[in-house]
Amino acid sequence: MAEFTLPKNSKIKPGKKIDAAGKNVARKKTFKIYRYDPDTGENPSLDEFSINLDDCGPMVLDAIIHIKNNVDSTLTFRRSCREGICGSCAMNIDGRNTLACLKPIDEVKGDVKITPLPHMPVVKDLVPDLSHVYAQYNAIEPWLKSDTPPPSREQLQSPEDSNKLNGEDGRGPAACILCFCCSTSCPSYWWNAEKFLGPAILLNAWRWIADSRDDATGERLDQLEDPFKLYRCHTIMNCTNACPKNLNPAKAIAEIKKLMVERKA
Amino acid sequence: MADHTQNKLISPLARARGLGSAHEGVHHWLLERITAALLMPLTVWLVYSILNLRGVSYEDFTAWVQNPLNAVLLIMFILAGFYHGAMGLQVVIEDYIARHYWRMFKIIAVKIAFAFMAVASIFSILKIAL
Repeated sequence: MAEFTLPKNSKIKPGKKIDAAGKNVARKKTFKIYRYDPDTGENPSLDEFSINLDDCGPMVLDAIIHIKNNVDSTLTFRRSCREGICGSCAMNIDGRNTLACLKPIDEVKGDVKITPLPHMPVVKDLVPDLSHVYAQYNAIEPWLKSDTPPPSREQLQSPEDSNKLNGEDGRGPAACILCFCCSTSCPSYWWNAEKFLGPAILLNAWRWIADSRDDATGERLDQLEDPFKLYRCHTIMNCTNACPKNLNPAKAIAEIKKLMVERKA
Repeated sequence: MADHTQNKLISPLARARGLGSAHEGVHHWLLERITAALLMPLTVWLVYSILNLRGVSYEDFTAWVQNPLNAVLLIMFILAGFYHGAMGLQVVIEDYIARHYWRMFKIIAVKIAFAFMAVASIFSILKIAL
């Protein structure tokens, strides 16, 4: 039968509570953060850290960096650019997948609950294992494929063709930063990640299919035409809802499906 | 397939590529939408007809089924309905049944059951109509 319940070792226990805000603090905020340590073999827990918001910057990433620096140095998460272009700090904040660096603490009413991206194997705390999604990205061969001899100077592309990749508003498929907020918000990806490529990878597949300089469109469509790789998408649209860069993976997948029909007619 | 994907020693790329693309799915996707579009007017027609047939005698009902247009539309409804239903259930099973052989068994069982029900329905219509 279908399996809907969490495995025993995934059930989350209550964790420790640390009040690091000090007394009589006007802007006190509590962060409930998912903790998992593979070395202890214990079930994950939800630790509570209360801090003074006057001690840190405005974004959720600022808060967890503050907690790591001043309260609990064992707290583990990925971060790099702190301005929404590297995609490292993707996590589930207040029930939504987003980038911690782009999420203002003020937007969260009450306590801030932070868990790793859903339905991914957890390496430690907020760090998910991305090796499978990266391998899926590799599997769509995300590079320009052309049998045409390279031109002697730059290869021209019309503004319209360029807009298919970059988008008139800068929100085309080429703007994807591979944070995987979309894929890990997709129920279809939760159930069938092994074979379904998921919105992030399909958005990138579309980025190369739509590229006027690429000669391998048919070959790329051949690789995608599969009940699981592509057609597990049921247009749930969580992907578009989740994207912290406001891109539209659902539309990209619809464009791929349209081409699949077009080449039959 | 199960053995292949559960092998912990294969590389992530080998796992992601799996057995490759099945090179099908577009036909299923398209037919699901065509049958859905077909079912919309057919369902309106059927509901309207059933409402009109409330309380009529057995003879009047069989006479209605014997009308060639009604018989053909009924058979179209049965074909589109069961085809659409079988394809829809297949998608649900593919979504939620993780174990490969169990999944395949259920899809085949659903298709046989739906084919049986469709044939039985069409046979019943023809038996009255002809």
